[in-house]
Amino acid sequence: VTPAPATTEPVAILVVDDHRENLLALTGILDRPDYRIVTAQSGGEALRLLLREEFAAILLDVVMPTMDGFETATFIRQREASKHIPILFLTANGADLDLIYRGYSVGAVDYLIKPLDADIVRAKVSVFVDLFRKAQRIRKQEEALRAAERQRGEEALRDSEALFEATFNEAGVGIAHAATDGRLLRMNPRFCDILGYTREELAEKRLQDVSDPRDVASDVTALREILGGRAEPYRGQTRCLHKDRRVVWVNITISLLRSAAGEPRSFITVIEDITHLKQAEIRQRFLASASEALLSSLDYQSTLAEVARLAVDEYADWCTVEAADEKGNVLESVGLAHVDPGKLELLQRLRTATVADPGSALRQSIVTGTAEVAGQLSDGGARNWGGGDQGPSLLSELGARSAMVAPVGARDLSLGAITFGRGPERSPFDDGDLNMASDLAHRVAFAIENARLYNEAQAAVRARDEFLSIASHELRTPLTPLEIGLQRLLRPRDGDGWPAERVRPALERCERQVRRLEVLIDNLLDVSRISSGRLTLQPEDVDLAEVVRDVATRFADQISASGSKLDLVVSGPVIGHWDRSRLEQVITNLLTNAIKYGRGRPIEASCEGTPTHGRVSIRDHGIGIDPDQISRIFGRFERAVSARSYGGLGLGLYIARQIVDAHGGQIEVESRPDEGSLFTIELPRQPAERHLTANEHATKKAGDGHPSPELS
Amino acid sequence: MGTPPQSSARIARDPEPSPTQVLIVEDDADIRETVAELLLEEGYGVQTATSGADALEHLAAATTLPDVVLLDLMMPVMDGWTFYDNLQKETRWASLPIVVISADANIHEKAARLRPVACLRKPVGIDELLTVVARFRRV
Repeated sequence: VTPAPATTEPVAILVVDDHRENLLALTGILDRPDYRIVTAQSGGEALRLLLREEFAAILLDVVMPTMDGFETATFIRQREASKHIPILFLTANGADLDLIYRGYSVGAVDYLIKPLDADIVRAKVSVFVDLFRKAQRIRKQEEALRAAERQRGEEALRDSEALFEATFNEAGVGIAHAATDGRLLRMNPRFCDILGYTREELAEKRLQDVSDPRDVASDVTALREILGGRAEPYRGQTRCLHKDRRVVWVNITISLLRSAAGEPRSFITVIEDITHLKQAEIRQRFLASASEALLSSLDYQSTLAEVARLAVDEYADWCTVEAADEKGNVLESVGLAHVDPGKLELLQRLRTATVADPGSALRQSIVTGTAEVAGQLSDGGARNWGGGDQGPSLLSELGARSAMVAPVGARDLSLGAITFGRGPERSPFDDGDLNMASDLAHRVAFAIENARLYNEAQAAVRARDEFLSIASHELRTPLTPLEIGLQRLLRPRDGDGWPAERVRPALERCERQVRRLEVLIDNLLDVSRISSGRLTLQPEDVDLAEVVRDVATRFADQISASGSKLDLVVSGPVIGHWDRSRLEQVITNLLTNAIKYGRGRPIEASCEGTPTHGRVSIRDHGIGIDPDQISRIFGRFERAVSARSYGGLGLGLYIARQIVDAHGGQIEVESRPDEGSLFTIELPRQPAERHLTANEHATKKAGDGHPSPELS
Repeated sequence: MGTPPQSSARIARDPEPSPTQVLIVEDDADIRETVAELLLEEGYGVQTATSGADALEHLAAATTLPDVVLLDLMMPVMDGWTFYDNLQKETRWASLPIVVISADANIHEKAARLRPVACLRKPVGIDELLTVVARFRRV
């Protein structure tokens, strides 16, 4: 028998006997520090003790009054807590095998035969105490094992919880748990962040309360579908409203958490902010549709109005398109649109105010050629947009929060600018928007340029057609008297034919027509020369006064035929280095006009010289020229009057100016309607070499105004 | 009022107490005079005017109306269209037969409003001109 370690708690042993002396004896025998002997004098008392504590073994007297050992053992075995406690019967009758068998049948494990042998008792009890101790140790180990296991489980749970917590809190996507009615139960920081609310604010809301009003219906339908098990998990794109009223586009995934019984418990919603992508998409869509519109028509005025309208479809809240001249002065509004037609007038007023303010972002952008974003308009940034004192209040009335402007220009030429504005529902403009606006502005510039070239080409074609029709008219007119005159002379006549005195005037008239045709053809050829830069001068020393006198003489008949009278004032020779025949041509053209538009009233011509220049003036008192026509009259095919009233190619003054220009001189006109016109030419006596040799000047002049029609 | 147009087959050099009257409205002096001389040689009575306004003055002063008007379209002071519009204001002038003579390539189109009895495009040949005018020769 190994004595138990001192630290071990004494094991309890129950001894049951109705004889007190037996109890004392056994207590004595089993007196050991590691045993604690508990005694009972009846079966009933034993059973009561058994209810209170646990025993390593029971020594049970068989023969006892009231309830004998077997009966007591039967009860002990019936109870779960005591059924495994080893029972050693104490009996005097060792020979009675029946009793022994009966004892085993009720659960005895051994017998101690009276009179008791102390050693045997100790040996047997110690066997069972050992057994008990071992069982106890095993049980303790088992418990320790279980406890350890439990602890490990709890740790794993805690780890898992922490992991979830970290994932939930640090996730780059917004995660929220919501009740089946949509009430938000728990949300991670990113979820709050995307929508701009605090956790506490969101806890008061339902999922559908943060939806954009335009998407609420479809979002609610989605939740119903999920609850009905028809779409789970639900995935889609939807719009939410940020706390500051701006639209937030999200990729949303909603799944349903069910109880063990399969009942829906809560929604798990995951949202990902894709506003940025969505905006880029909208931006690209707008750029594409605007570009298409720009390509669709050459009428850029209506095209730009359409671009402004397209901008407010989904990209911006307002858009204006401005046309400017090269000095950056805004000339006119070619496009103006607001998503809310009720705010058009307000936008109009803002536009007027910013156009009037030279420091406004719009005007600056046109001048500097750079695009600019003005953000934070509702938050102190309104001054940057300009528009004077009214600017900030108009912006605030418009509800503008962000605006940008991009200059429209081509090849260093400023054509105007485009502005865009956004209210609080849309995100402020960023660099991506600025790039898009610059890109669009370039395309607009090209469209305007194309339209301009096209219109010029059209105008050139029209000018050519008109010119051809006028030229044909002018060439045919002299042919009438020529043809009739010649046919008359050729007609067979009775007798001696035509008398000489009638033939001569007829032939003279025919000759006049031939000269008229000659002049017309010369003019046409001159225009062709000027257009191709082949108007060459043959300068020599010329007396301008003589030229004027000669031309005047030649016109004498024509002047008197028109009922007019020429007053010629010429003082001495005015010598210069000029092309004589070209100067004759200039004076002829001026005099022809004076007769043609002079209404038969007197014409005054004069020629005088200064030390450096020669000057010729021709004044009539005829119909004069409308002030708004004066700038046109030196242009090709131009005349101040309707071709319906006055014939002619419309080339006289054009050719005159080209010739004067080629001499390095100037031609000027003063005129009033119904009072007549005064044409003055001034020619340097020694034209600079470049004027006389190269004809770039004439070529350049021919190049402006209308493009040259082909005269072939 | 002018007499109704007649067939050109009736052309005759019979002495006439009152020759058929032709009003020429044309700003170009050479054309005006050439046509006038031709018609005079052919026995017509000729009046000339240098513009629509001039022609209206003529008509207002005349005791008898011309049998036909030869009208140029493009003229200073008053063009052919305006002249026609003024004719329409006077009942006795409204149905004067008008022959338009113009160098315009689209003469028929441009003269259509004037409801001319004929359009002659410049240059006009003698035969063409005389045939048209002969339709208005008095009996």
